[in-house]
Amino acid sequence: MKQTPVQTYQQPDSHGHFGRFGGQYVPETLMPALYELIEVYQNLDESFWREYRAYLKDYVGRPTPLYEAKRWSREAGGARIFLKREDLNHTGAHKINNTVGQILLARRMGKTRIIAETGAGQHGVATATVCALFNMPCVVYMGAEDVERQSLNVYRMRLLGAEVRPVTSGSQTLKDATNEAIRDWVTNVEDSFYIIGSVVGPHPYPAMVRDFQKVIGEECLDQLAERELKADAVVACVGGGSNAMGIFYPFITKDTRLIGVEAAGCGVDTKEHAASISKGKPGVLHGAMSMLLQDNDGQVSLAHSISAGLDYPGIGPEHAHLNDVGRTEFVAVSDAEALEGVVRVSRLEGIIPALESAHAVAYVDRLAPTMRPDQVIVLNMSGRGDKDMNTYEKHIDAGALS
Amino acid sequence: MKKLLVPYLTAGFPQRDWFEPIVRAMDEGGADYIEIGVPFSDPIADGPTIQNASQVALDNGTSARWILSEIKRFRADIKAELIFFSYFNPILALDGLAGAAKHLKEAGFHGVLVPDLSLEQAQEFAGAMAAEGVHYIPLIAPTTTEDRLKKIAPVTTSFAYGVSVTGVTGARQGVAQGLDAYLERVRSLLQRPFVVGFGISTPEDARAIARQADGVVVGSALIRLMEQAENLDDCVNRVKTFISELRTAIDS
Repeated sequence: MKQTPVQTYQQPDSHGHFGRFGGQYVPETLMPALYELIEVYQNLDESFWREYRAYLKDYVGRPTPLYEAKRWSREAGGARIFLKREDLNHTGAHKINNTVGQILLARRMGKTRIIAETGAGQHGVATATVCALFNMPCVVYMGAEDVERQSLNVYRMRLLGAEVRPVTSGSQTLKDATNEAIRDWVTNVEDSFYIIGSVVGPHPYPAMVRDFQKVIGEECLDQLAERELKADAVVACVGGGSNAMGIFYPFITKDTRLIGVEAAGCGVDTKEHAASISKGKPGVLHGAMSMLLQDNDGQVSLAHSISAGLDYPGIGPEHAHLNDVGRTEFVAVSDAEALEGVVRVSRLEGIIPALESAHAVAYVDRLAPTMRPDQVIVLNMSGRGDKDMNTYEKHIDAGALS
Repeated sequence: MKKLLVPYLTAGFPQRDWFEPIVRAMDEGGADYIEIGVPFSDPIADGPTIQNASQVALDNGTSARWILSEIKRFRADIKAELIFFSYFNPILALDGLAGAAKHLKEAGFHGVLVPDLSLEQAQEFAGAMAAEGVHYIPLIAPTTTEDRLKKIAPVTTSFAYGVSVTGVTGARQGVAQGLDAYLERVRSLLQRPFVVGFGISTPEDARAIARQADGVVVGSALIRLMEQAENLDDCVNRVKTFISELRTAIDS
């Protein structure tokens, strides 16, 4: 598919609109808090960013490597595949780039209590981690079903000192955990800061989370330049879309294909998927207008993915906009293909990816053979697979693999 | 001025065919406005009582289109004005904003209230509604600053809805503290009437609030009555009696 080049890019507008998406669809009670946040965020001085970068370097372990997957590239037979190793961050995923930024903000604003939502638990762990680091009380909302599915991460959060509150309303997954976190925020807005885990929510969250994640793409540009390379394609998995937005953003004005990989679950033509761009319609959920899986009455549909991190019926508004204007493209990868992706990089590169990242792996496996050997694909390896071992054990018979 | 009594119900709760009798009971009990709640899958501004009512109503097959067709059928029999109370996404799904405004007008709604639509996003929405003569009812919260009140005042064409607490809907023990200064601020800047809701569960609460505001909204407490009803007759009686008691309390 041909993507439309963009020379300059200045989004969102002052009310947080990315084209027809984004905005602030929240109860009036929260509006003054959002203004306060915008005010503080837009006027951060250099000392804030210095502190942020220092924590990313010394605590998170950045910069993460850009590693050339030579065996896999040879096997795939086509483009050179590079992995941006976000799985090597402290806590095992890109999520911590954002939680470090947001907790530093919360401290500057004098907030004394942290709220977060989590699906797979990676954002919950990343939030619990920075709360331990800065000695802040932390409440993490998690769907009761996810509490069951991701018990190891629940234990990690509790060990770090966070309170995990299982959410039993609705579908008992990420969507409902987010509803409950927003209700807590409405109730405790005076002293509490809501650390949102993806490029979703009301303005300024989508832009702010992007800005805390764009370090991924910026490092890639430097690391490619050191090798005198440029990326022909950048590929990332998309649930809410923070790892994708983080790696895409610095490439928007470059001559690079940007490809988001959604979860096709059991297939985009079944009812069991999480492909909001491919199968959704414009709608409002969790404070922003974006592409949304919903029925004809405007009721939000349940998403499905084997990966709890992609199991979300919406997507960040900036992704919806970039898709609208033809700057990015979206593809979908099924549960079964993602599991094949897990085996592929585990066996060829000695890297066990998170289920979310495995969706991007599966697509790159299809894409690379269609490209020339002098071309370069950068894949955002957004997280490591430790948290998914139970799922892998259940679905992949490692002993029977050749 | 006569104080306004504004009861809320989630349409389709506890059963779909109880909808019309409950609305009639509220009307006969003495309601001035009735908030017709559209159930939504993700009610972020609601506490457990209305969350549950929403889920039950959705499971019963209640949709915004069904509500509109029902209201259209018996609207002429109801004396009270009707307010369409819905989260934004089900409204958008009614053929866009202009389409939704037409549907609301045709069904005979006086106004529309959207708990997740901020003033910042409401301009196009309020314009589309006004074009069909449907009033946009803005929300005010204890956190609303004076600056924002000054922006809300001119777009208030019928009445405004003041939220009594920073929090979600739900019956609470006693009325929130520290309301006086907040309600004074609203009164001094708003030219139109304002009613107060969230957490008002007894005639005593209603009487206390009505001294400082132009009216009261009662929602979760009514839903709880409906939950406890043994059958339709019992439900209608309980609702009608409670509304009459609230009426007496705020008029006294």
